[in-house]
Amino acid sequence: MSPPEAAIELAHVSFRYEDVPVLEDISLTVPKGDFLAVIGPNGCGKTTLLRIILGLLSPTTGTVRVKGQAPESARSRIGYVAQNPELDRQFPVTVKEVVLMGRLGQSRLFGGYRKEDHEAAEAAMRDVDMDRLWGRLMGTLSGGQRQRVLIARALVSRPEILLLDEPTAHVDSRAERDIYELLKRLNERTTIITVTHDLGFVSATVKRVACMDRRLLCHPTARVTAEMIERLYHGPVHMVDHHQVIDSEDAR
Amino acid sequence: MSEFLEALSRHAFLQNAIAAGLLAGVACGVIGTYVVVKRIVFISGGIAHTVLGGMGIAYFLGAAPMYGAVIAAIVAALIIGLVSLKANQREDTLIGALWAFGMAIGVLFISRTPGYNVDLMSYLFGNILLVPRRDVVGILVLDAAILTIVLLLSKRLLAVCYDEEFARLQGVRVSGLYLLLLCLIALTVVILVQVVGIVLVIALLTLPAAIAGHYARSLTQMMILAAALGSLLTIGGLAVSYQPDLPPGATIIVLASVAYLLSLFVRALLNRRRRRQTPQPAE
Repeated sequence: MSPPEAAIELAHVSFRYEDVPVLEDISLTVPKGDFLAVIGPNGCGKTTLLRIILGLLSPTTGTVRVKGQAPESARSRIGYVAQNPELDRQFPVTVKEVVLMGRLGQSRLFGGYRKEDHEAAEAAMRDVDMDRLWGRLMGTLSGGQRQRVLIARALVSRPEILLLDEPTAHVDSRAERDIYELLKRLNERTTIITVTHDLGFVSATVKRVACMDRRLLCHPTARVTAEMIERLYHGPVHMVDHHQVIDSEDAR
Repeated sequence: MSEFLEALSRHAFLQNAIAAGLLAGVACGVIGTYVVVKRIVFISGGIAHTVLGGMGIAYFLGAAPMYGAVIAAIVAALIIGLVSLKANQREDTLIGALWAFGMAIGVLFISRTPGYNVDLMSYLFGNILLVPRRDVVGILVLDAAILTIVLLLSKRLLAVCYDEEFARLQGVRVSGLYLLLLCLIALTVVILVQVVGIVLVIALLTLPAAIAGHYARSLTQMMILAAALGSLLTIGGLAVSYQPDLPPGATIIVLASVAYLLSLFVRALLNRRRRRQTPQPAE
């Protein structure tokens, strides 16, 4: 059997912000169809990792390939759901207008959106079961609803890879479970990487877990033990065995 | 008020003033909406004040002040825009410095201009009653340019204002559009300077849009409502100021401020009532 096609490949990626090392020697291969959760404490570089995969930041050293291409040119094949509290809740914008933004890359340069843009947006809203919220103001949605709308916006362009940054950080536990169920369904057709520090639903949903603290260790979900996670979060800096950084290929 | 209407039918200068007020209202409603939702009031204030530098230079060179103002405003917008894009920290310090520097340049050039220096006051505080017919035509052209650009780029401008990072990932040229938006603000400032002057521009740019923002459900609604309010407040202020012979610019701004306070109050009442009628769902 031929090895599964790699969606994302990082080789020896390091990133320094001014003089502060944020990521150190990260090697990671995400096969097509994977559902990877990246967990780790705040400030461990999870968001930076996503931004490097998106090509919003360039690694200080190392290489990144997305679908075999440089991240900037593969951008249209990635859907991204950023952490949302930065969005202004007072902004007068409807759910429909926000989801349509996912079509900006494909739509014509000038003037309004076309019929096919509206159809794609409606389909994405059905994918996340939110089509009845179409006309609502973004600022009036609950945290869980807002998150699903932002996932819909990322799905409009039919991406092959979906990146999510803390998708359940500001929602209650029921909405959190629903979002992970939704992601599990989307994983049937999309490679997913989610960054999180809510551990509750992660192990039940995802296929692999990467523990991060500047460096990265990958495990199949079954191998993540409570003890490992406890060490990652409550122990001193050297949490998981950092002497041997395991490439995801080895972990499988 | 009846005296104002009677004078309006007789005096061409009042008709020009009304036309300028209506056109200014449209520009301030449309562009003011972007200023308010993108929270770039301070940057807009910087552009408005830096314009005095260019107007002063144009005045010194004997060029038509409105052409000078357009060029100055665009240059000021680009400088301030680049500063705010490039300076990661202390952007407000730099903009504040440019704000005062532009004004100082303007004052120096105006003081060196031979002849009678009455224009400084009307640059600073405007005089809608002195707008000549050819400036009304100039304002009309600027209005048309602003509206055309906004219509063509509305969906991209919305994305840049709401979620810059997402827009960038969609291939939208965020920095270019941001600079374009600042240039549109600059053109609007040129229009509004004729009506209320440099010092008071910022109120007319923000207050109608802020009031509209209390009720609007989309940027388009907010723009239409703000344009109507801008025109109404400008002409209302002009009418109120006419008989007691008050400065029209200042009267317009006081009227707009009172309207904003009233709207805050009305919205608070509406919200309280809504909360009582429909309990918020838990999720």
